[in-house]
Amino acid sequence: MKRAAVCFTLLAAAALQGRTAPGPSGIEALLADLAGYEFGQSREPLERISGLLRESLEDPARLKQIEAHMARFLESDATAAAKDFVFRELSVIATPASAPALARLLEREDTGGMALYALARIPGTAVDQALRKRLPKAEGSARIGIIRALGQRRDPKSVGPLAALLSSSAQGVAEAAASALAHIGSRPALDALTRARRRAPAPLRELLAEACLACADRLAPGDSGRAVKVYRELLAEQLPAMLHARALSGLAAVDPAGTVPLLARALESKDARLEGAAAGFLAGIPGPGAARALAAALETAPPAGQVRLLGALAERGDSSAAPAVVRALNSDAPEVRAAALTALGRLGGAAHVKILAEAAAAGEGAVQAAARQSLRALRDPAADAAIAAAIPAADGKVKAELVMAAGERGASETAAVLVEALADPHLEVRREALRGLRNVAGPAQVPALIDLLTKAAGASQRRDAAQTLAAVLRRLEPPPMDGLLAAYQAAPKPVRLSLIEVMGQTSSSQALPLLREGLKGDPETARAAILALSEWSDPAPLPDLASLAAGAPSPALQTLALRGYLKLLALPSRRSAQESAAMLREALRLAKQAAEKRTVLSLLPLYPARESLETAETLLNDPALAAEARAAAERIRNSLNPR
Amino acid sequence: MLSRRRFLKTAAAFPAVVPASALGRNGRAAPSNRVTVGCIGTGWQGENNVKSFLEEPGAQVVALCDIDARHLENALTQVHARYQNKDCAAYRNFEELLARPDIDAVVLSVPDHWHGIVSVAAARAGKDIYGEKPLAQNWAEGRAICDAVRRYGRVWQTGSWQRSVAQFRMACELVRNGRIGKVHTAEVGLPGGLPDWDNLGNQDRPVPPPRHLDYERWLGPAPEAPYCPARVHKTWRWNLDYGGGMLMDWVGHHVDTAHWGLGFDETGPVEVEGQGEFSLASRVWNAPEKFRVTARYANGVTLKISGGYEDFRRGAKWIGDEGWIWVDRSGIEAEPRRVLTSVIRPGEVRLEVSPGHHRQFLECVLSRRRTIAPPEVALRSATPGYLGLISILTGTRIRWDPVRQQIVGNTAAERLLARPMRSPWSLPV
Repeated sequence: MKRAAVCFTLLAAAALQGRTAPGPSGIEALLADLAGYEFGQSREPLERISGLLRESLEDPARLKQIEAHMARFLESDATAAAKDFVFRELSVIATPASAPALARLLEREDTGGMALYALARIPGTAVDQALRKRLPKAEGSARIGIIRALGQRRDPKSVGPLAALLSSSAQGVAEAAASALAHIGSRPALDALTRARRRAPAPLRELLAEACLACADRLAPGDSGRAVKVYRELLAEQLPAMLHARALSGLAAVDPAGTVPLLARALESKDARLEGAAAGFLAGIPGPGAARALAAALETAPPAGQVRLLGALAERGDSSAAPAVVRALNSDAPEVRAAALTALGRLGGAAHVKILAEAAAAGEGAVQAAARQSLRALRDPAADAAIAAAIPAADGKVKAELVMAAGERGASETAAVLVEALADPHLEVRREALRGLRNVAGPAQVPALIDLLTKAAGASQRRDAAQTLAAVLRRLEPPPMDGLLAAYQAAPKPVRLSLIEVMGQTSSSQALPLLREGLKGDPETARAAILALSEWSDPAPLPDLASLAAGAPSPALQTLALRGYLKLLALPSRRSAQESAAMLREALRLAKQAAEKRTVLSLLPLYPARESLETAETLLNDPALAAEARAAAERIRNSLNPR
Repeated sequence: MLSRRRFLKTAAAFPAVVPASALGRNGRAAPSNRVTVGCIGTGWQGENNVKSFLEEPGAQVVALCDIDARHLENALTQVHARYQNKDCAAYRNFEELLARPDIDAVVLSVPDHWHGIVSVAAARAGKDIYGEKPLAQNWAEGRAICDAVRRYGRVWQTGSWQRSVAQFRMACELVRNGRIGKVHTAEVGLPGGLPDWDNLGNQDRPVPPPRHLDYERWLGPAPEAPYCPARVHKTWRWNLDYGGGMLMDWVGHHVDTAHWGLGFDETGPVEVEGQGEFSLASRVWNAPEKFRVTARYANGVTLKISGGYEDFRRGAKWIGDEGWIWVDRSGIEAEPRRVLTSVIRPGEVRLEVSPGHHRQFLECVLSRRRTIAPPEVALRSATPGYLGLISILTGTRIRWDPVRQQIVGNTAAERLLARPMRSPWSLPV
């Protein structure tokens, strides 16, 4: 059976403990409640203590008192689960004053693990000393835990004892000691690790080499000379490729330019992991040297290597590498060509527009996708002018690619060229031009788009032109409406219907009188006008639609108007919830079909008011809508009575 | 050391019947161009990730690993069915999988308390990594992952897949390019509660672990605790030893999106304050079931995160002095509405277009380019969550230095940035 949820806020928790726990801090009573706690029992005594600690954290005197009680609790005969909890809390709040008690518990098998958990987080030399003292006597996993804790604490006095453990044959001890010394990361720690590395057997030697690298990383900010010595020394040794990668990374951080030759050599590695890492490091090194190294390697690398090198060049975005990247476009391997095209998008410019467009036109799959993406992504400010200049002279597929790029880039200087392309003999070019103008056309192109719509050869062309015109007008602020309104007066009916649709997309107050006039027209025009007003972006047409919902000449138009009315009603407005509720009640009265009534029910909870609740409740007895009505009423009630 | 290509060339265990796809037909890349993938963690999100990579023509899933034999078996069956062979290997311990030289990349879908150890080990082994969000169970382990990925030169993609979805990119580009003016507030609405997906929540009393689960290893670096079904699969995230509740489960999505839009990929808050409500309904789950976090940034922006309350609509919303933009998986909205038809012009901020989150990772493995969700960015996105949770747990306001990435003047809070690991587990150096 599901237990009832007991929730309480922090404040409630504090009040709760205040009631049940007398005394200055209240901790004694709470610990007494905790003493018998077992895993699988209610967490209430735990949460009470946590609540008390949260409340006390900024009251040092009170916290000190709590800490002392908690430390004593650990030596009581409380359950292991209760102590486990106290260890965790002490790990956050305890001071070095608890170190002696915790150190005693460190020695016991049943509490050693959690005592270490707590001690590891407590700052101060008293804890360091306690851990060092316990180190020689601890065994197995407990010993490894202490070694690791001393490392994490970066205790300088532990270097000697830890160094002595580097030759230990006990399982995991030498490894843990190496790791701890690496964390400490001091010169003495590095000296100890270096000495041990020179005489260690192979597997341990690698581990010690890694620890030396970690030490060098720590030393590098203040002692770069010593760090560089370590990196270079280890790069000269036969070590696993990833250790060489780490050494190169460290060296590149300290001496970027000086590392370029070594990274260039690593680019020739037979180990793909090292080669890839080197390419990545070179991508992050500023200056022409790194770009030259990558470009030079490109000439001789196998295809997979070329892809990595081109990726690194792309990351750098260094235009000096463009000639090498363009040469890679001649590769027989499509993945290399795709990588080169991608790189051109990052480091290329206006000069590469034609290359990219031709590659997009001739390519397929990944190659075409890369070329298109790069044409879109070129960052050179001159690229848009280059695209605009290239379009008139280009043919067929290449022209279509250029036109597509112009549109996707949203470059307004290409707008005039795209208008010209609307008359291109190739369908693909015309289609892309129309699509592109949605993004780039300004007020100067609107007359041409109106012209295109009014002179369209058929319904399909008219629809495409209307969609583009609507998209342009929606984007312009304010939308230039004069031409559209003038064209309407002179247009035949099919064109007028399209123009009405466009007007609906503009939400322009200039179009409202004309649309209102349309509501009184023939059924087709009235229908188009209702749909247009339903698309409005503000509630201005609400009265028109309300009136039609009540008294349009046909039931179909009434329903259409009601749907539009509900759509606009849901738009953000300054109405009060009561006003909206009244409008929805009226809409419900007019609704004849279940679908519209459902829409009303879905909107009512957005306006939490007594009137909304009453309206929802009128449908509770309607078998088709009772479930939705109950849900709506419940939501409104919840909103009206927040917990 | 045996290279992957050589391994492919010489592998004795080549299947008797070679599927057309393995030869590079059927739209799949040839084996030499395919990224070999090992999946560590195959339950729930792990299973989803296995399926996603199986659908990628540029990937070949060659190994699986899980400490739950049932999860492993289930995933293995799917891989065998997809490839029509039985070449995919199965492991119980991740170290064995990482030791295979023929694996290029690993997909990590393990519980949060394992993220740090497995991720750093994978980077050391030279694997590129697709790692689930949040980056790690705690901030310090997230930091260690970033360092390891950088030091070993690996490619990393965080599972913050909203970055690869067009509407999220569009929203962020509009915000970045000033379409709603100067942004002063971002609101992130998250779910609350501690959902009990498999109805195991009331099985929260200690019982012996099932034989198919290596429970000792499941606990790994977390403190000793007795097994009960509510503690482990899926709902581990409601216990703070393993996860971070709903806050940290979602921080890598909507907070990440909010940060992306704000241009905070390389910075963090200066002050964070949290408040939470805890439930006693479970004997195991101790994460806050409701929470509010407020993070303030040096440039004056305030990020508000709310989970379990009806403060904000689910998703990310940016509010500027000229309007707002809201985005969620269900759509994108703006006020004024015209903002959504605005075109990003040349010279404005354009965010990376991803071909799909898993695919972008695979492309970056081959090209060594930076992914769309690298670890440093994931750590920055998760930081308001880490600090918010610490604020909730300590009841204190947290001051944060976003340059040094340190808590200022709050020792109790500072201690919660990291957690001690149960011996013998530790993060490799």
